[in-house]
Amino acid sequence: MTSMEFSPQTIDFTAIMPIIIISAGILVTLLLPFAAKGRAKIINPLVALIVLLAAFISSARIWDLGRASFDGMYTADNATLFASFIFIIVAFITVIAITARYCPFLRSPDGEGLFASPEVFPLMLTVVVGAIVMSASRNLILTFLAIETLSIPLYVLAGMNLSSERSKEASLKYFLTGAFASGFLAYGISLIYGAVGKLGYHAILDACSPTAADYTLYAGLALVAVGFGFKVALVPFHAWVPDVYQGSPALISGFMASLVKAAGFTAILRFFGEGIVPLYGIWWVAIAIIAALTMTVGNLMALNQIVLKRLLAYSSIAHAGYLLLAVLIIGKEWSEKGVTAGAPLGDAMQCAFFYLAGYVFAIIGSFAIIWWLTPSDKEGALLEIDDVRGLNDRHPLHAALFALFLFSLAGFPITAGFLGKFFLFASALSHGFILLVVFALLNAVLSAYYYLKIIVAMYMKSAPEHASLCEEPSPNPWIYAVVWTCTLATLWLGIIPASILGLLGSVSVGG
Amino acid sequence: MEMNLLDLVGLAIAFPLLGTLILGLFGRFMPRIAVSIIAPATVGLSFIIGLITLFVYRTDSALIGGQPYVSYLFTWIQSGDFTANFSLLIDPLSITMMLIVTGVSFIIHVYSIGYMAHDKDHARFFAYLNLFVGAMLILVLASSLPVMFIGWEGVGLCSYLLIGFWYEKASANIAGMKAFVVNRIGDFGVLIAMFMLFASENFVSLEFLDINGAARIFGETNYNSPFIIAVCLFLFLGATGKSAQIPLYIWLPDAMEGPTPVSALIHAATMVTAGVYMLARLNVLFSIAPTAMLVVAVIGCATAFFAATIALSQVDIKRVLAYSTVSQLGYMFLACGVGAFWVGIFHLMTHAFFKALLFLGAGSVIHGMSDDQDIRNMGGLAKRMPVTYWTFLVAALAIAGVPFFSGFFSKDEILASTFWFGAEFPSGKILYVIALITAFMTAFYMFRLVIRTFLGKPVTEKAKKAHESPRVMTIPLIILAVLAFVGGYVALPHVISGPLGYSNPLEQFLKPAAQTYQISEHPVGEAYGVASAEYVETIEGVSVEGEDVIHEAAGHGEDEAHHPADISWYLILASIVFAGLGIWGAYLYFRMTDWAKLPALSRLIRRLQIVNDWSLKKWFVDELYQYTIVEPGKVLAQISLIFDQVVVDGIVNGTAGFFAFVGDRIRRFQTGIVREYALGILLGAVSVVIIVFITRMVL
Repeated sequence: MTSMEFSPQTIDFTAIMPIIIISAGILVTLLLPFAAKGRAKIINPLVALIVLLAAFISSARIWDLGRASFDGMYTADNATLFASFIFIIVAFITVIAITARYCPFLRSPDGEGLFASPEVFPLMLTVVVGAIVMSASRNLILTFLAIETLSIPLYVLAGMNLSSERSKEASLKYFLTGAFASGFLAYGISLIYGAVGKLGYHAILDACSPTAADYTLYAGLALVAVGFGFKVALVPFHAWVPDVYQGSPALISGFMASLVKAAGFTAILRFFGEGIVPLYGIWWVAIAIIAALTMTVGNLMALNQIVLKRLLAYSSIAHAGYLLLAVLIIGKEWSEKGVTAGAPLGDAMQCAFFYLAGYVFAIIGSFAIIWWLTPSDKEGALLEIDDVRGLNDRHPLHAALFALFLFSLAGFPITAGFLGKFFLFASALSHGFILLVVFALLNAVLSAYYYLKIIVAMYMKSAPEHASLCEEPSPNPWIYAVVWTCTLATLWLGIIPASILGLLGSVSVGG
Repeated sequence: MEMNLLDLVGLAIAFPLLGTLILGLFGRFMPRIAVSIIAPATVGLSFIIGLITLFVYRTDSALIGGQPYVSYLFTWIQSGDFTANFSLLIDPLSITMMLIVTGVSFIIHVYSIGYMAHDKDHARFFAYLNLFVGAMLILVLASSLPVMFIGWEGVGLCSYLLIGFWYEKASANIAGMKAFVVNRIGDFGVLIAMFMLFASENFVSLEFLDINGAARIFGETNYNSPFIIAVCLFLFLGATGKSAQIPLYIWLPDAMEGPTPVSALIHAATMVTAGVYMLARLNVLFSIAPTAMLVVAVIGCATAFFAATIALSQVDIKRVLAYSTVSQLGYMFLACGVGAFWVGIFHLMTHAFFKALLFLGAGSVIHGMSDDQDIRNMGGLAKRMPVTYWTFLVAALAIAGVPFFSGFFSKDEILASTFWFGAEFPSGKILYVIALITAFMTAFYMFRLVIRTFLGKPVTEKAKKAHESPRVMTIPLIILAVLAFVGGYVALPHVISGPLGYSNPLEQFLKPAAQTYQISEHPVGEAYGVASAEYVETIEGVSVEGEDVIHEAAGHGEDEAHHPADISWYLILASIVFAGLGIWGAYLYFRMTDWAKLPALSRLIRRLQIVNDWSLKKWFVDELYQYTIVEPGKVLAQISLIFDQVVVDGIVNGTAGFFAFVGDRIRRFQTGIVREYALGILLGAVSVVIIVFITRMVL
């Protein structure tokens, strides 16, 4: 295992500084409750926020430097860093909102839906570490470890609301199916190692050739794809998503739908683009079929949903289908040109990241609105389209912001979602995926129907006669942090995307 | 960048949007009167800016000959070598559209104050209406396809919100949804076309000026190439969605569920003409794809005819007008399709006046009839609602194409253009014949409507108690009636204006922006789309100052075929005769019994009737009309209606049903049992492995 032997000299501490900082934060937030007792609920989130801020700064300091550590196993190139920014921002606003709702001095009067302990913060920080390592890893073993680091705290977070049966159910279902999928990933990795004898992406890249008939390798990469597919909820590995997103506290669902999906896609793009791109001719059919299936099944299922959280869950599945286009584009582009270290990532990576950024803020914003509307998670899990009828009359601000996020998810102009789709589809078209793009566009047309169904309910229907679940939204001002950040990001990306695109233009394959 | 007064045009968009913001946020807390002032005022300001823009543009020495001016606001998208600026394009076409949109919108805003006086949600209504004006101005002023698309989606959204405005009505919600789904299909076409241009190496940017410029060069080598045809047809698919043409017209008649001012503004005067505007805007692109132009002409002509046959038998006053709108939009596309883009815009303008007037008049009638829309329950309203009657009559005369009214000039221009198109391209003659028959039907159904609504005796109690609308509603009617009458004089036919030594100002104005571009290597015969614009220019032949510059700038001046003036006169005569026959036919079929109490027009027609009775037996005429026109017309109308309801509706509803069904089927896999989820993952994994293996083997 030559690729995994490294001496202390190969460790670049500046490259891994963000994860060192966050890991330290994990320990502090985990141990602090013993020392601080009751005050931990106030101090813990503060520590978490400071740690995240420090991690953000230390990431920003190595922007453009292309640092790598552990003999290139871990790379802090701009792709990693851009993804890290997304993870950290998402975690930051989620921490604020969760604190706002569950801290004793800010808690809503009924006190229901209280998180059992302040452990939620170390758990969330662990997820962030997993996500950063996932996006930085260039070695299958490290990727596997990162995925597990990210997943295990999520199983707990999904079940965080002890007073809700659905939350417990979500946790268990997520864990069982997740463990099952991890098995596939591990088996796939071992098959690849058996075939190639190496686990580093670049070593795999050099070793695999499209002409050799190495079926062990092909089976291995197919199973690794299954493992990844589970994480980002591709069809047919998606069945857990609606149950888990519905049962988990709304903000945790948003956290999963945004951060986990972004981390998963960064890892997928890296593995397919930097690892097995010479085998593009072999995997593209499978990926294309999965992409078409994912967007179609996601959208078709969303059509009939009446529970908002389930609807958003299916919507997030459909978005994963669109994002797979980026994997195809990268595969095609790089299998033709050949990957060279330091080369710009190309417009495929650029539009994948732009799309991700737009999607992430729209989906977490939507979940945050649900969280905002329902004082307890038990109700949040059951919130139906009928419950938000006439929302504009009762809470015009909630309605307007929710509508904005839904427009972005549906891909309407002046929102990030429109430009994300525009760049992604245009790029796919110029790489010759005409049928898939037509298919994706038809899907986008179809999807607009169910997003608009919610907006119609909010704006064009009168309030329901029976008491609605969202009569009394949380009065807590801190939740605004999430919603306004998402609003700003959605409009910023939609109206002046140049700034972000400029940043992405310098995203390159690390040396 | 140097500041120019023309940069003020951005404010025209800002005012209505500001109005939306104010009314949307604070409208519910404001007194009714404040809302009633703010909403029309913002649009009025936009109109004034439109006038200033026109004046500055006409007097700016740097912009002689229709040179476009681009007002840069900010850079929207900058990605690699692709840039999309958020900028506004000021040229004769956009100024014309801007004035039409803001002018008609302002009048309709004022009217709405009266119409919505008793609605509890009037602040919300005006917020949407202002938003619509803002979006529509973005649409017509945008300098590039992506920015236009913002407006395009925006007006669609407002249309949809306003159709469903009375959400208590279930039918309004369904209609809103239908409009939305159908329009998305059209948007899909625009997006595809945009992506194709974006991906093509020959088109460097999506700015309109660049697209047309690139098309000019590209056309030299790729005249009528499959790529261009495909782009144009996808754009046209978008246009058929927004402008309600076959096959996507079905949403428009249902859209009449919204409040009547909305029907007047959005579903008659402005938004639905967006498709026509887009074609005129991309005139060069379309000109290098004659096959696509032919499709546009044929679809437009077919829609004009088809919708007119349906209008013959409708009994809901707004539905008659809705089908009539579809039919008139068909005329506009016919004009564009035969290459007379400026004529399409001309008809767009006159249509905006008289159709807005017809709808507002209908609104006044509905108001007076306490919300009854069935024309079988009306009759005799002329005496009870004189202002509404006379203004409605002006509009009806205009749309029917009676000489001296605006619709006559624009429709005649379309018919003439189509005729000359037929002269260049023989099978095109059938388009002319169909368009002429449609003109007859238009006159017929319009006067059927006038007679059954306003003349004769009141049929019901409601009709007897009908009352005139308040002044805030009737004054807009009068203004629009004036416009509907004089609107045509900005572009008199050349056989009339030529001898008078009077040029055609609208054409002169629009020509640089909205004419067919001719590829030098392809003579007129081949580029048959070019024919009519050519003839128009030639006939005119009068030298006006600065005209030479225009000619040269537009690359015209050769290959001009002369169309004899006497034929032009025959064409005018033909359209007069057909319009007259239509009115006469309607009168004979729906003639009055109570002659003595009839208003002036009916007495006049009655005199004609006596002459008629004298020579032919009355029953015989009846029979004749019955069996030659009315019965076949009824059958045709019936067939059209069945086609509409069974086939087209079936497809739309069927599609929705299909997806719901499939969704339901898939849902059965979602059992909630973890064991089965795991099984799904396992089966999926096996499938992926098998697919990868198969791909490898096939490779």
